[in-house]
Amino acid sequence: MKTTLQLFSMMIPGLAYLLINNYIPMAGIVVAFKKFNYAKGIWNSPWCGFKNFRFLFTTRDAFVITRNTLCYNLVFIVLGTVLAVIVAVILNELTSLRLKKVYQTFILVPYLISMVVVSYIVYGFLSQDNGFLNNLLVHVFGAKKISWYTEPKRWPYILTAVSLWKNFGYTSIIYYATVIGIDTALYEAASIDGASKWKQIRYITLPELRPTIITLVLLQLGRVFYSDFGLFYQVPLNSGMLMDATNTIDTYVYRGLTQLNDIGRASAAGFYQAVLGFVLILTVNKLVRSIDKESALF
Amino acid sequence: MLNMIMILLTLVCVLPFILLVASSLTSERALMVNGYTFFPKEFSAESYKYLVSHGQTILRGYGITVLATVVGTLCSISVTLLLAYPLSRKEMIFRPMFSFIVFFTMLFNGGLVPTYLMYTGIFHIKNTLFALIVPNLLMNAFFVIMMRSFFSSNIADSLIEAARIDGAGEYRILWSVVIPLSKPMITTLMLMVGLNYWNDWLNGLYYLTDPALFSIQNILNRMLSDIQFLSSGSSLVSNISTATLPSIGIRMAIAVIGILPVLILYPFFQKNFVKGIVIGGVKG
Amino acid sequence: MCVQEETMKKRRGYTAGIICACILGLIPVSCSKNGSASAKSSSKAPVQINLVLLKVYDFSDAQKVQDEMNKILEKRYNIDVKLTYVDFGSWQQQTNLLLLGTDCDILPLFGTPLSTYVANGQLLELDDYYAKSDGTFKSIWSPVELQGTKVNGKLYSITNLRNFANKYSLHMSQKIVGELNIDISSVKTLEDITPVLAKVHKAHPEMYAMVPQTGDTFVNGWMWDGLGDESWIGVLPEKGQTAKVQNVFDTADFKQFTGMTHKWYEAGYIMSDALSNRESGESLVVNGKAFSFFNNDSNAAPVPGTVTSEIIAPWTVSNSYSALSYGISVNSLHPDESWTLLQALYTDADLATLLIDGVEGVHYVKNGNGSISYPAGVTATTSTYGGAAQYWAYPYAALTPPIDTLGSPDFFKELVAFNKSAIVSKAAGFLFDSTSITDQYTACVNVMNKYYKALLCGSIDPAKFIPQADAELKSAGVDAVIALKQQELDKFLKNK
Repeated sequence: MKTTLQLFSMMIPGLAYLLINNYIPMAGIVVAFKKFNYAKGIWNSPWCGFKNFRFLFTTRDAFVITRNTLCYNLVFIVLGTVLAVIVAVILNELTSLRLKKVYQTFILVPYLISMVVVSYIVYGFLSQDNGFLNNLLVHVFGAKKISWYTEPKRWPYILTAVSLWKNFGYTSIIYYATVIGIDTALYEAASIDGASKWKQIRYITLPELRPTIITLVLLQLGRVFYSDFGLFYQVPLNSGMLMDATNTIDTYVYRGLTQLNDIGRASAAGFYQAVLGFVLILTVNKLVRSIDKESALF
Repeated sequence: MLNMIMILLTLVCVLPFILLVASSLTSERALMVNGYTFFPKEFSAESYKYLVSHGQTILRGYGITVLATVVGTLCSISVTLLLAYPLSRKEMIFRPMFSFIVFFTMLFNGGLVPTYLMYTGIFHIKNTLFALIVPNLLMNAFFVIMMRSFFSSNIADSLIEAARIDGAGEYRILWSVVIPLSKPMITTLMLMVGLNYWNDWLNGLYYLTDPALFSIQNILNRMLSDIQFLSSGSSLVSNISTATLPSIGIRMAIAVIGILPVLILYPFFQKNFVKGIVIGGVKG
Repeated sequence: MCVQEETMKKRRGYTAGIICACILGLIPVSCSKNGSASAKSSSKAPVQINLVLLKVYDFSDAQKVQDEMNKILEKRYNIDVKLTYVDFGSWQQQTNLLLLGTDCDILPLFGTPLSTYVANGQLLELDDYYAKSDGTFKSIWSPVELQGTKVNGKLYSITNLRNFANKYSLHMSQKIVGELNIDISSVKTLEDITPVLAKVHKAHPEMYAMVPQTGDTFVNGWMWDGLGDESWIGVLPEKGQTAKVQNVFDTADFKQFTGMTHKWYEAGYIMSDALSNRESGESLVVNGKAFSFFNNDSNAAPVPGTVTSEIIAPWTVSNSYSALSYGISVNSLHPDESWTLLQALYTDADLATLLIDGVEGVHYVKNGNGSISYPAGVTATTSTYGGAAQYWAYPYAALTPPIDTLGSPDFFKELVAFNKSAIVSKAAGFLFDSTSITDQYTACVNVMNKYYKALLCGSIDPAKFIPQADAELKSAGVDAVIALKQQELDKFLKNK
């Protein structure tokens, strides 16, 4: 009893914060179903049913933006996790402490550079006239200059590369922290049994990482209908010609509503993304639960 | 072999940063004419001179950023740990319900307008330091779940039981048993929360109009937004003389100084990433 | 096992539901509507009015100016002003939030079409105030100019003094013009520009012969009147001298312009990276990277190092008057006093001079001829109160002496004359309210984003892409938008 009370009291600051920061404002979701009027405020603005959602579906772009958002995110989750885990495992295997620190510091650098600045750097590479890549193509390979910012077909690769570059250092930190928490006795026992490094990784490290990987993947899946606005808007430099490959739900909403200050529609878009993500997570979590109960989120 | 891979990855990460630094040291002319190069054709410290001449603003920005980050991170970690620990204990009542309450906030959000109305109308945090610390950053469900998972799988129940038998209250257990055993994860948490605070500029954009409270990232982003405005197609764009806008070099320089402190401090954090302590071989 | 899970989930969901309901029940208490009990200023204490202003230059001395202004304001009107400067890049985001609360009384409206502000209910109606205002104030704006800020016949804001007409010229690098002996008086039309570009390109292949006006926008407007929004969906071509709304891609003006720019682009005269450009044409020319760019130079100080040649005579578009105007927030706690202050800013020379130029002696010095200068060693970008250089962002700069960098001691008089001399589009003062067809409008905006700028700078072939853009616009519902615009325009013209 005493234990329960104490545990409960610990949770109060956190829960109070969630109430203030998340749950009370959540009531504002109703704005998605209202025609918001500044003079009337949230509660007195008139209802308008699902009208605010129409703009997301009535255009040919509706399919494109949903497809882009989903596909990019799935690729990011898969490749991102693989890369981060590999890096975490490698870092763990390295022996020199100094080198470990150096690598860890430097792979974090991309995460610290804001996306707008990243877009300048990418421009430095892809600029048609004196970009690094075009210079390489012309002077080293003798090929023709490519107009990177007007042809959409290369951008799925470019954006994936940029996203991985920016995030793998950061994500690997979590995995690394988990890996070094693995009981060394397990490794000792394994090497006594004659297991090779590779076998040790395969049968100890990876399974120990599994709960963390599943948790992180599930959490990312919940946000699979959101996108990194900076990545999809800033890095392609808001180039109209690339939109078929770079428009996501978030950038579409931003572009369409910039001049309109339409809070109702913006809120409707957010709601749409949240609901879809929620349904997806519930489904996947149920799946995970049936395979491995402990790893499920809830 | 492993070193080779890491060196490659490190280079890929660092070279663009070096490009950034190099362009902050190139003259505006050369940047326009030649684009970004690793070896400035016309070396010029004019961007940094500009920063020094605005030294007061920049230093102030640093001060604000550091203050918000330190205070915010400490508060955030306390709240997060206090919430994550009970959630990790199987004996906690309604545990699945509370977990869901926490998790649900990651999916649904009221949006900017209700949050803004809440914080300005009721709590009046506009143009105060609280605006940089509280909204959305003070506690994140993601981190709570991360810590909860870590506590669940890495802290043996037997240890907690033992401490309880010895008469320790839950707070004592958290402080003396759980936290020392979670050093790598807590360091990770500190790092991630700290980075969130350091990099945040949205709170500054929404809640601050007093320039005295702008953080470095806020200053940089306002500058970059001003430049983006030029492409907006507004008819007033012609009235804005571009002489007022900072050159590419200056933008790069501000980006660099926004990143450097983190790079310098990070190694000090890393010493906590020590290989795990043997937990007596007992794992729940 | 499964049954247990099911009940657990049900119970969990049920519990969560109860909690949400409890929380939702608490909300109405917290988010109460404001503005009901505005204190009537019968008390001696001056009423504080929040004046939000646009920031282009530095305003670290805003507090000093505020104090000086308050000395006058308290004496004459029993009002205190609080100046809040917001940078133009973050303007939209910050002001929309400010308008949600009561922190903003008077503010300039720009970036978003005025009709949108009104449709969102963000502004106070000003008709009654205006009717009761004094003759000086009413004499400032002509009925046409006042019409520009009326939506559905009601007045919502007052326009401010700046250039109302667009005058597009070709700005060329003075150095190159001199070097190659180019006769700029012969550059009067788009066709005249071609040989000049060819000459420059041949002599200086490392330079761009022509670059966009700013960023990725080749020109910010040309011969077609956008009718109130900056998305160009449905326009009046021929400087608005016709009253038929058309799809911009189908107009002869647009086809002519893009045909030329595409020719120039193919010949290599135009910067090939135009769509990813982020710098202004001005900085590119000044830094020697480009030769020329189009610019709307009807009011700005001459760009150093360039010479200009007018291509399009000045003309006023429909939303010229509403592009920047001053209004009062609907959530203001002191609307009466806000109006008093607003009126004062348009009629009280002492206040206007303080607000725009700063404190005499500290921020500027008077010259004998009616203009002012910065103190020795100070420029617009280093001044601690840079209002003089951005006079166009303030209500009524004609009350103040112009800064000498603007070129002439009679600058404001000349500006007023310039505005009067321009050709006026038939739709001048017209504002389009898109709220009834927002869905189609949004879809069309996305299509325009794809093609408009790319076509303007000539990077894609109009012959191929205009039909493609048209097809996408049609499926996005452009016909409905244009029909609505025409309908509203007809109504506007009938009521004029």
